[in-house]
Amino acid sequence: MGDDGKGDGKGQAGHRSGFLGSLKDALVAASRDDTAPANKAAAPAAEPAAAKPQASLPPPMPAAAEPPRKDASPAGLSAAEAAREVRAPAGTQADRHFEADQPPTTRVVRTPAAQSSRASERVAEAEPRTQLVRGRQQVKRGVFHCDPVVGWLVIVGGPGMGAFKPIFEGNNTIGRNAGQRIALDFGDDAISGDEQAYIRYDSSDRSFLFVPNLSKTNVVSLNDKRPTGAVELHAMDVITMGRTQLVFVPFCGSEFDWAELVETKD
Amino acid sequence: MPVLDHAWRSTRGAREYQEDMAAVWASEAPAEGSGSVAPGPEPACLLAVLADGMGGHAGGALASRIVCDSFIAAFAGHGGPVADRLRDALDSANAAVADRVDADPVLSGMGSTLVAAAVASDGVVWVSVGDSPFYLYRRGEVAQLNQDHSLAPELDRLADLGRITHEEARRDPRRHMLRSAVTGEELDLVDQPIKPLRLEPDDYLILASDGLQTLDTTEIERLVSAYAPDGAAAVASALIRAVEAVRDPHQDNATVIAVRVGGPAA
Repeated sequence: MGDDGKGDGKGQAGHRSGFLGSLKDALVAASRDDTAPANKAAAPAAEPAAAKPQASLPPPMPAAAEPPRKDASPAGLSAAEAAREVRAPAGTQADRHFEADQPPTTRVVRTPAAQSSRASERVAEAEPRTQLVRGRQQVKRGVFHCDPVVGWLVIVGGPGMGAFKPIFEGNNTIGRNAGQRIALDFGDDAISGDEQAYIRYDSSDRSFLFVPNLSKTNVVSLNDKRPTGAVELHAMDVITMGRTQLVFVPFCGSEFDWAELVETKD
Repeated sequence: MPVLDHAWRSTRGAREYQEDMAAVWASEAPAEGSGSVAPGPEPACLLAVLADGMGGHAGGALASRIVCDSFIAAFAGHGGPVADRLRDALDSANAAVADRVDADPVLSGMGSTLVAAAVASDGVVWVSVGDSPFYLYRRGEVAQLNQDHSLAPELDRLADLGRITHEEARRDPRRHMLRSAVTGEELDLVDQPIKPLRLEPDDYLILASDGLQTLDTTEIERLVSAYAPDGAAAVASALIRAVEAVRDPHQDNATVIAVRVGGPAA
């Protein structure tokens, strides 16, 4: 068997480089790796050997070349694939051109008026609940170093858009003045200075209440309704005060309350 | 990729008025008139526009006509990259609606969807606002290329999440509420591809008003496959006939523009 291999190699290489390098050639033919210093004589013999792997390469090669070429000739793309291809990262470039193109959830925010308040309300409910907050991991118990936050108001329209204000346990006064627990001091002077409304979080039943201050001239609305009494707040509800729109994002609720972390400490 | 032929057909459905508007414009040889086969040298660019008006009797039909006409006029009057021309033309169309409403406030609230597809040598680019579907048919499959700006996708998402049943989602009247439309006000959502979609010989592009969606996608797929070899006029007629055959008592206006993509040497 070994002899056959050698004989083959010798015969092949012998034609090209004479009989001098016959043993070397035989080695080359058997395995090119052994003959690193194999030079001139080895080269011709290496060629057929190298050609072999290459002969088996062509099938994978075009396959490997296909993906980059996809842009040039989408011959293989089905209708759905072609559709996906042109729109896949639509969020990036399209956004630069017109910021309006956004994932559907942001639409709640963009609903400025009575246009489709009902629908937005309903859709808002589909927001993933604050589930991650609850955490899969054990949290260390401890003591508060500051007033614990129970939720946030995110300003989604009007002066201060993009900012947020924390909501704390108990009663929160909302107004323009700095002394308010939730001070909307972003420059919207259509908001009353003091106590235009209140947000209350009650840890005993873990619910949030929105309470308009009816003694104020400025009217507040919640999801395009104008409440005349306390109403319960739900995640992603939209509050409008003056020219400012706020979205309510709870942190505490049925899933979590600070009591879970502190009560056992005592 | 040259366009072999194009055609449009429409039906009023169960309505007493037709608020859909369709038009096709070719940059070299203007081919007006329905069902005409683009004659002579292949046009450098073919633009198909479909608008589905809303806003009561006069308003809806007027809005879709204004949008269609001003869009084509603006597109024809500009040079430059096709995507930018489409976007500019959309802004012109929107401004035209705003002007008309300003001139005649009785018309306020009128608006229209718009889907416009420009086929050039490097493929098809579109711009879309509203819920008029734009489909690619390729090798027996249909895929919707543009985003649906109605509440339907949101309802379907809610159904997928299990908040409502699929049946409820399907019957919900809000399915047809639009999150974005050409009303003369700021455009909330605009859909455009990130790059031209390359076409293949025998592809069909189908622009439609949402009245076509009385048929489900598999039905559309089946009909287009069946009539594809007979040309664009046959495809458009078949789709509209199928919509009429359903005899939905609330059938909305339905309009279809079919554009057939020719072979490389056609």
